[in-house]
Amino acid sequence: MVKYLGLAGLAVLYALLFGEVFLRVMAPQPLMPRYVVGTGWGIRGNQPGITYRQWTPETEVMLTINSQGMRDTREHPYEAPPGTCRIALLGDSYFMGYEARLEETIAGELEAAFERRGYDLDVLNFAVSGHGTSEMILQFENLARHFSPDITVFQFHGSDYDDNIRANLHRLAPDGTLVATGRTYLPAVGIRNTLEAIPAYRWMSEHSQIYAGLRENAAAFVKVLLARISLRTSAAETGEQGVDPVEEDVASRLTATLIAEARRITLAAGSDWYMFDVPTRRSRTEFASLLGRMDLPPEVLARTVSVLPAFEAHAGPDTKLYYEKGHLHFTPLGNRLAAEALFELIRQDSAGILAKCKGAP
Amino acid sequence: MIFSQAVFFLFFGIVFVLYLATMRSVRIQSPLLLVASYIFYGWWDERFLILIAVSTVIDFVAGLGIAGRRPGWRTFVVPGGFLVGLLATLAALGTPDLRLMTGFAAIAFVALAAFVALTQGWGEGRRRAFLITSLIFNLGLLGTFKYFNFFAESFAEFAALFGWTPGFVTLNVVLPVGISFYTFQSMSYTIDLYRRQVEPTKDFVQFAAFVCFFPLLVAGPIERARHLLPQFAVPRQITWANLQTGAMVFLWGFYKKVVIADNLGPIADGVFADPSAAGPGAIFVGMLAFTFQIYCDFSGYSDMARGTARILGFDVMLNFNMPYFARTPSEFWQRWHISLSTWLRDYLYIPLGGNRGGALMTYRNLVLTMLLGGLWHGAAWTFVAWGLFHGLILVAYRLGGIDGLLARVPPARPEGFLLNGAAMAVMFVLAMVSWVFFRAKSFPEAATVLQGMWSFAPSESLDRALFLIAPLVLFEAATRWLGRIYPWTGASLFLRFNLVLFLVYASAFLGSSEGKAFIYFDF
Repeated sequence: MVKYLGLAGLAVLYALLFGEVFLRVMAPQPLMPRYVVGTGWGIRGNQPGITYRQWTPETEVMLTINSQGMRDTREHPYEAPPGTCRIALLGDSYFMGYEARLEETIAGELEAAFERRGYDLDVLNFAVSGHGTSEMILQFENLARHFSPDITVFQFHGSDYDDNIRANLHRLAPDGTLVATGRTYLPAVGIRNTLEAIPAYRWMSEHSQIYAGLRENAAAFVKVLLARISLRTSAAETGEQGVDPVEEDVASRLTATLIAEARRITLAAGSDWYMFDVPTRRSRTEFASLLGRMDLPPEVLARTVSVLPAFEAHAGPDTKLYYEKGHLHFTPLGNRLAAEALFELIRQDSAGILAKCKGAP
Repeated sequence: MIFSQAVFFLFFGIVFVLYLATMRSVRIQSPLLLVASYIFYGWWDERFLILIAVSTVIDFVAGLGIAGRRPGWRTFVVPGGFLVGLLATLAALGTPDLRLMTGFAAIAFVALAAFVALTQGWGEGRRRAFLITSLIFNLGLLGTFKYFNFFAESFAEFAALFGWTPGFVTLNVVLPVGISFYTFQSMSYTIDLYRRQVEPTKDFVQFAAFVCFFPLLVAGPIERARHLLPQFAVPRQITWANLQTGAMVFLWGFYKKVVIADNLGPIADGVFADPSAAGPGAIFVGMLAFTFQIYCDFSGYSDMARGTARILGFDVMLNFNMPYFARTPSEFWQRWHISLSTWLRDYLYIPLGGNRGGALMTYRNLVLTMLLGGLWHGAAWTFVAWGLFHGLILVAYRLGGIDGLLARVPPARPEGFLLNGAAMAVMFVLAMVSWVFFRAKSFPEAATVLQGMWSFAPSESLDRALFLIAPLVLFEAATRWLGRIYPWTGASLFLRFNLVLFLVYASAFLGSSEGKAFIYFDF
């Protein structure tokens, strides 16, 4: 019996080693560890004060998180220096700048674009990988607004529909109003933090292909499962019968309502509001916006930045605007085009606000 | 559902557990397989079920008549009850077009019963009459659902050449999945009965399970009654050896389908979406991709079918034997879609005269057989052209005596090695050329592809295609060299373990997530 158990154990070990070699040679997996902690306001936040590596077959970058949980090498006081404007970014891994060096992220390119034109402006990046609109709202209310941003940009991505349902932080009452559920959303944070305290695990999450591959597949499966469970819970609470025909509509209505709420609380906090729409990539030359699922009011659409025209103008069979062997984040070119689109609209529509920080070019 | 989908694994898991529980009783296993197969087929579209059910009833009764038995009223009880049960089930499911299906089944059943009554006093001619009934019904099904519109539209186009515009009706029908396969499998039973090569079955449930056996139902292999039907009459054993073998064959097919075929598909589709706009080298890459896509798609399905059947204790014929290592067209057709090529040989080529009427008649028979083989694949002239191409190269190789030449030079000698290698390369190119007609939607498109496929240029798509194809070519080259059927045949436990790991990891991490349907489902 012991002999057979030993053989089985050896076989498993061999299989894992085989997998490690196989993946490195045939199907390199992106190594993108995610270091998050539970914040005091019940959602995930970036683990402060760390630097870690991301690797894909296309790129290798180091991510630094400051002590305030922002992706930045600088620390920012709550009060902006005189004559300095602030733009707060709330979003997920796109705004956080996964697979990009700090200076090549949307935040970095946006700040540089303003500086080139003589603005004294800081971009504060509050984005956290995996955040949906629900989490961005809580992130703004509990963190970002304390930094008194002059302008706040919320990111929208097609994954937000599912993310907002899965998070179950807000739901729609039968009359369509938004209700905060009072729940927390810390998916596997505790387990993750416990494991990451183990040096061997941490090493494995940053260097092991087989671990990265298995984790990503498992995470994708769990995400789908959680979304379905949350949707059924949400549907039950709103009294809606049946799930499948209603699923898309519930998610769309919830997200539209959350976006309206994000705008409301931002404006109420004295910050100008914008939304950035991350297009979905279908191929190197085809992209699509998933905003169309929602019925958004004109005031929201007027402040929605679309990078689609710029992407379509620059796209080509040999041009990558999205990384293809990682998690489909923007390449430096994609980030630059996104930042330029944001820059143009903000500079035009918020000229009055930006006047205080406009210096000589 | 298709074999590479999660729902199939759930379905098969349930079937397997029930099958295991009923292992000792053929009386329970056969109905279990029948019900499971109808659920499997009905998953596509439950309306298809009435066609296969009626076809089964007709061939069952016809089979008894062909064998010289005297089907009486008792013969109709179980089949009749089966049809009624099926219609009741469809009614409970709220299937649309139920009246039409009921009418069709009732008319066919009554007509069959009347035919049996009418032919009671006939002598030897009765056997032929039943055979003709079976052939007419099965070919009629094919003709109606698959070829009616094709011939009607072709006739109209031909008539237009002479300024005539005939008014005619086209049918608005869906092509039932797998109709070309199960009708041929069913006809092999009645034809073999007529030739007295197989014994008739009096067990309707076993026969119905044979016709609709779910691993083979939608894309073959087209099994012969004399090989598969007797296996339904004896208790099957679920043994560890069968489980191992079956799982291994299934995994090999799964790898070919989800890793190679499904990933090559978009490359081929990208080119064939608009071949005239394809850049330098792109058409060649598209054709290379399609050449391996269709092979891996179809042989992958066949292997998954064989593996599934083996797990259940059935032996199903080999359908592909590394056809791209064939040296001649004749050898190619001994290795590609073997169940169809042998069916055409036994039921078309040989009855036409085979090679018994001299050279010219042989060539005629070869070309005719391949023409009809092309038509079997699809209701379009491009498929006919594909068949014609293969017929012509079969004739050309015969005229050139190439088969004989290759047979005279031992492959182990250097000149034999080179000659065989060259022959394989030439045959591969010919096969690739033939696939142009298979894949193109029209002759102008085929012409564009044929013109453009001879330019080569490096590209990411070429790199990706080669990356996907290379392991398969290496595996099969080694298998061919060793004279085996599968890469693991005769290999040590350690080698097999490594192969399993490779296939599992490849399927998990390189497999396309899109879950494409099988190409041959369209036939």
